[in-house]
Amino acid sequence: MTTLTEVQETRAPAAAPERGLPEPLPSAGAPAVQATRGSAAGTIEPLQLRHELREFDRFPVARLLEAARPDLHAQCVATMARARDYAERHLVGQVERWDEVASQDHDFVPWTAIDAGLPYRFLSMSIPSIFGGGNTGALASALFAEEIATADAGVSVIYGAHGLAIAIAAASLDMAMVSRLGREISEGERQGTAVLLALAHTEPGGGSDVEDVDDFKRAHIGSRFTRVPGGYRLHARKVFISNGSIARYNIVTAASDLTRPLETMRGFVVPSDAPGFVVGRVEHKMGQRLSTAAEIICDDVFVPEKDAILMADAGRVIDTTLSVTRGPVGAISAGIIRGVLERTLRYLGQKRVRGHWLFEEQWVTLALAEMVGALQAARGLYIDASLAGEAWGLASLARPLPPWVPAFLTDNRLVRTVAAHPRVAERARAIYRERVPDALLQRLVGHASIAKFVCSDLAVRMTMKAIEILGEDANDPAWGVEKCMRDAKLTQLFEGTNQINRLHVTRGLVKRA
Amino acid sequence: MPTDDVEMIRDLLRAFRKKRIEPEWDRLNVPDADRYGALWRELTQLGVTSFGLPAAAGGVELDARSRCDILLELGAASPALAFGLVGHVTALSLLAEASGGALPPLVAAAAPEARFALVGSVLDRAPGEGFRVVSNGETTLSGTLRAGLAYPDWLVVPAWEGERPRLCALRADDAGVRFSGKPSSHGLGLVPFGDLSLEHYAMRPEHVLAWPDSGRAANEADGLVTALLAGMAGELADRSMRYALERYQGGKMIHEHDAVQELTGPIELARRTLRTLAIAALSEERPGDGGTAALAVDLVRQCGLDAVQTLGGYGYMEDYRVERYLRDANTLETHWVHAAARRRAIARARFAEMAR
Ligand SMILES: Cc1cc2nc3c(=O)[nH]c(=O)nc-3n(C[C@H](O)[C@H](O)[C@H](O)COP(=O)(O)OP(=O)(O)OC[C@H]3O[C@@H](n4cnc5c(N)ncnc54)[C@H](O)[C@@H]3O)c2cc1C
Repeated sequence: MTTLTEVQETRAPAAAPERGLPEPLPSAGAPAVQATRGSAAGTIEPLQLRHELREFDRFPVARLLEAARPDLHAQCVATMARARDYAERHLVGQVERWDEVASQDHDFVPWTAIDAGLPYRFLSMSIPSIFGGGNTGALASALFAEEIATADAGVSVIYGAHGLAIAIAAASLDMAMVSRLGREISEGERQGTAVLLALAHTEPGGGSDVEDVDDFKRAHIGSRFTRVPGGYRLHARKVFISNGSIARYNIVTAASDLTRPLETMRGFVVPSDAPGFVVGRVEHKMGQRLSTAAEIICDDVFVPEKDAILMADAGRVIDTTLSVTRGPVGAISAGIIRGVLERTLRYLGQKRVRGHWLFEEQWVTLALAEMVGALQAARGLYIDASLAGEAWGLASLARPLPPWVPAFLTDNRLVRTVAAHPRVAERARAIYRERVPDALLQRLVGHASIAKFVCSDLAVRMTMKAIEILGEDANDPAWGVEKCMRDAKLTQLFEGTNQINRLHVTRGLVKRA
Repeated sequence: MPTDDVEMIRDLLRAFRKKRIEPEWDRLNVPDADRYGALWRELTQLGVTSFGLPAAAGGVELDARSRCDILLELGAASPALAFGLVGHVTALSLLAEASGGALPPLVAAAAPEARFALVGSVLDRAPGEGFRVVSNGETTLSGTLRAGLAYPDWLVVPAWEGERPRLCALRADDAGVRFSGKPSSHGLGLVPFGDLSLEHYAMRPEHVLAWPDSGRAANEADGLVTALLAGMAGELADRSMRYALERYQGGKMIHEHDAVQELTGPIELARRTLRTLAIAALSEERPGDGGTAALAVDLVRQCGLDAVQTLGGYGYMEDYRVERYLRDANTLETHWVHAAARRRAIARARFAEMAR
């Protein structure tokens, strides 16, 4: 049997960007997908989602937000537009090929994409502006996650894991650390160097256990630190750490007393060149191959005092982190749904069967409707979780001043120094506890967990469905649909498995009457 | 076949798995003709590749349970190898039925050693749209179809000659046979997938046969695919439950959590019910409609998702040997089963029956 290299495969035409084009709102009952009549004798019939399913500015909720919180609205619109610009220029058309490369070369890192993101300042976007960041709030960050995940969930997780590390520092209210990291990250962006972070929390004996405050208390963890003059000695072995092998700094959690892990937990900022820091195995994953997950070993690493993160109340730090990072996993899942939907439409735009468009068959119409419905349901949930966070969560502390206060008043060395002072951190912790007591914090975790588990379950279901629609052609990696399925499965596992997330929904949101 | 013999086949296949599949597991995820060929030769020596052949051509008669268990064991060990076997057996059954029991002479001569593959779905009762036979002086076969071909020596190609369904047999290594096979990035990685194209391929007229429309081969394939899937479910049940017995989280071994029992219980149930269904399908004399395989593939895709979930992050890693079964199940769905389409067809057929 000869191998035919000349056989031309059907390739998706590049979708024409439709950014910014005005389009009237559809009348009631119009189909959710827009079919543009094809060119010559119908070899291609491009299909795409209508604007109100793709542009934040057209989401019904955006109108309300614009009236109630014009600052947030403007931030969301701008963030989504920048993310799309980045994705279209640097990810679309590349990621499927990179995924194939990464399937063989497990150390592959899409550095071109990461470097190309530096001018967009995505790495510093969630850091408060007084510390050199973009002050991007929960909702805009989630929209960013959706937009990038639409192109590639793995790349979205590179930014997500970086954000997770920032989140745990912020949740510890260690403003000195947020300030230091923030300045270095944004300086790196200016200089063209990616200062990536990772959070190394999971360990071989502590997966679900370290995601749950009660289970943490009896978890079998092994990462520990001891106090020594001038700092700490750290012994830790962590697994599945996203960005762990490529980050400039890993934030490594450990306890001083392994019988009381929660009470004695701290975080340590470990640079990649610290003596004793070793990257172990880089995992061979089913999907999200553009984001690496690695084993991280700290073999008697010395950590100076200034690089330790005090976690005065580790339980609240963990719950606060989960309350701000699970919503974005919901958003990544929504992005995967949109990504697989857009890829399926691209496929359907050229697929004819028995003399008609496959798109015209009723079963396909039904399946597409389910996917569009899933996208909207997922969005509703992660937007809801993000808004809950904006209104009641940690983010509400990040905006102590009204938005009309000019930047030069807050963005100066004096303000930074004051904000990073340990006394201020202590005061901030007290205010945070007052404003967000434990019960409210658990409710926030509950909202975030709903978004996480429902959206990720939907993402897996919809990607499995898309595989059914493409049938035999799903096996062709060029369509990217099977990749979406492999990518989606991870969203049910990390940031707490969906089982743990379900437990947190009931814990936070159901109470005895 | 007596029970002892069935058990012997099972033991032989388990030993084959231990010796030949387990050590090579990681390499059985990319196309590799030599490796596949070597494994196949051993299967042939074990006598499990000839049950599709008529006795006259050196085939072995096996009862439903034995046929089920061969595919079940092989499906658990290597779905890709089992995929090749189902394709082979179905191609031979179709050929044998089409030629009235005995195979065409050239094919018969090659059959005991050669590997056969059916182009298109083993579950179909009529040729798909891919290929056309034209006879005007010369008989030619033309068309293109996406195919997953497990390194066959012979291709069995369903085709249409005008309105008449045909079955064509041709050597896979002939110059006019073009296959753009490349690694699948999803499942059944050992098997190359791609477009098979034939352009005015000159057929020997004696190798163009009338399509046998009894549906027997499709029914047999329905049972065999279900058995293969039952094997996969069994493997997923074993792997996830073994893991759950050893993993401690949440203050106990994870098998003690309701959440984990809810994930694994259905996988165990799938293992049990699918074997029963497969044996039932293989015992029945009826035209196959792929309905059993459709039910099975949906179940096993879900089993794959749940087994990965049971292992948590470890399930997502290739080394834990669970996620590959999920990908394999997806590829079985897209290549052969098309469960939703079969369910609609089953409804249509029943409506037609009731309307009569
Ligand atoms: C690709 C990848 C990237 C990751 N990135 C990071 C990262 O950057 N940083 C980081 O710190 N971690 C990271 N993780 C770890 C991730 O958060 C954990 O994998 C996850 O929390 C699950 O833990 P586990 O894998 O140990 O599963 P386990 O906890 O062992 O779970 C196994 C099964 O038991 C169930 N289970 C466990 N406990 C309970 C319970 N109490 N009640 C009911 N059911 C239970 C689970 O639902 C699951 O089905 C990553 C993981 C992966 C796979």
